Amino acid sequence: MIGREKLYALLTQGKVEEVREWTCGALNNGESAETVLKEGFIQAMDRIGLRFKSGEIYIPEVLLAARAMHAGMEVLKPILSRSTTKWSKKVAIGTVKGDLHDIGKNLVGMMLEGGGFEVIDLGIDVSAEKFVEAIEVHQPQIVGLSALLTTTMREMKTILEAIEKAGLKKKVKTIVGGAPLNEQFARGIGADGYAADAASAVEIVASLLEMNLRGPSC
Amino acid sequence: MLIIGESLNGTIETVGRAILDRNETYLRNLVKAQHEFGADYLDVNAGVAGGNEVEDLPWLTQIVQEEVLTPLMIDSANPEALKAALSVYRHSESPILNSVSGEEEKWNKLCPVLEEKGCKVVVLLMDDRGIPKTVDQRMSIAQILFTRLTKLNIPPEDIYFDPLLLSVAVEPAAGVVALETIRRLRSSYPDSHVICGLSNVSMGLPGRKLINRTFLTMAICAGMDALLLDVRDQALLSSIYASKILINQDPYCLDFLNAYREKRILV
Repeated sequence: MIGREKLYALLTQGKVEEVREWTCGALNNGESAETVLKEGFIQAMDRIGLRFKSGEIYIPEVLLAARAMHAGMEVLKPILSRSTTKWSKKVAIGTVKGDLHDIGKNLVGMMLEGGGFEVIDLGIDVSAEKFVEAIEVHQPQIVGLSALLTTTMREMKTILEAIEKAGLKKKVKTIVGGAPLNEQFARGIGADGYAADAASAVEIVASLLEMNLRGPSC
Repeated sequence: MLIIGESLNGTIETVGRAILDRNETYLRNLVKAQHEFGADYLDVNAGVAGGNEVEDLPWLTQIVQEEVLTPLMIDSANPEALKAALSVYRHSESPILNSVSGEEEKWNKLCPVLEEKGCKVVVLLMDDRGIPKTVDQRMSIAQILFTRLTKLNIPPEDIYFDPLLLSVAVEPAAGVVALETIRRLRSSYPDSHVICGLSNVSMGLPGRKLINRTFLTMAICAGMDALLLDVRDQALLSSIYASKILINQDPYCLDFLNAYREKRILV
């Protein structure tokens, strides 16, 4: 049995060094890296995500926990990448062409990593060609587009069309988000999902992948 | 201190809906209310999902002008919309164009407009690489744009630098970086102005109004002299009155005392 409550407490307090030690300890006790990831980190970060969504805790507290989680992930990643099973799902995210805002996108990235997803951050001002190329190279299951301006949100449609034109629509699900957007707009441009905030981005990604994050280890 | 009413903004849900529905009554009431609360300028932003800013912005500008005699800040990320709105602008006081930045494409489109209309202008301290992390990078963008604007015969006093305030919830140094940028702008460009959108600073935190108000007094102390805010927020306005007497910008405390007697100060 891994000490879930202990890990949860360490993460919420942002204890970087202790989280690293806890992770090494769990592995030394014979737990597999997959178990430590799924039953330890993903479940703990999921609890944190729920508390964030309900307004009980706030962004800085999520960031504090995410930073501590990274320390544990540094221990797990080399082991996980050696194992033959695919340990995580990939999400590629980027702010669309013409738009240089990255705070919201970065937050989504951190929350997704907290949810156990591998995040490929394509940065800001990302063109349709770059999105298509990234899908071909990294083969993510999900692509997330961010836009903060009413002028650049239109670019999302262009990008989604380019993804379809490149014949990648079946390989990847798309989600969109950003201050000026709404559900109706997202549906209108043909996105698979709309995320109103960083916490719901994680839920939507999970539901698009038909994964049950809340249940016991899968 | 220049007070600009921020509330006529399509990205606010109720306002956006009113623009799409052409609900003039709602918009006119909002304009009147901001005018009555003493706004020196009114920001006009028609950006809303599902709208067409090139038509909506001039339409909204005309509605405002029919309602009050307040000069306007014309606000859009779309150069064509800005152009269209400026062409219907008719107040004798120059409009403030919001905004240009170091983003080349945007600059190239707005440069001829600025040259022709000679308006006041907000300068965002960012460029094609995004919003700079450091004060030095922001100051070097300020330098480039100040030189360009001066070449277009726009006088220093018509330039409003926006140091770009980010959320302290996400960027712990955001407040400090903005305050230091304000200080440096005031010493390097004493004839120009510094404007700031306040509400970003508290994004993602509870008690936002308290944080905004506290940052406001710090920013005024650092040299910010133009404010884009909700003029109906009495606590915020009270902090401005108090700040002005504390930095000796309200001779004999007259504005403060008059506002106090009229019960416009929240203590």
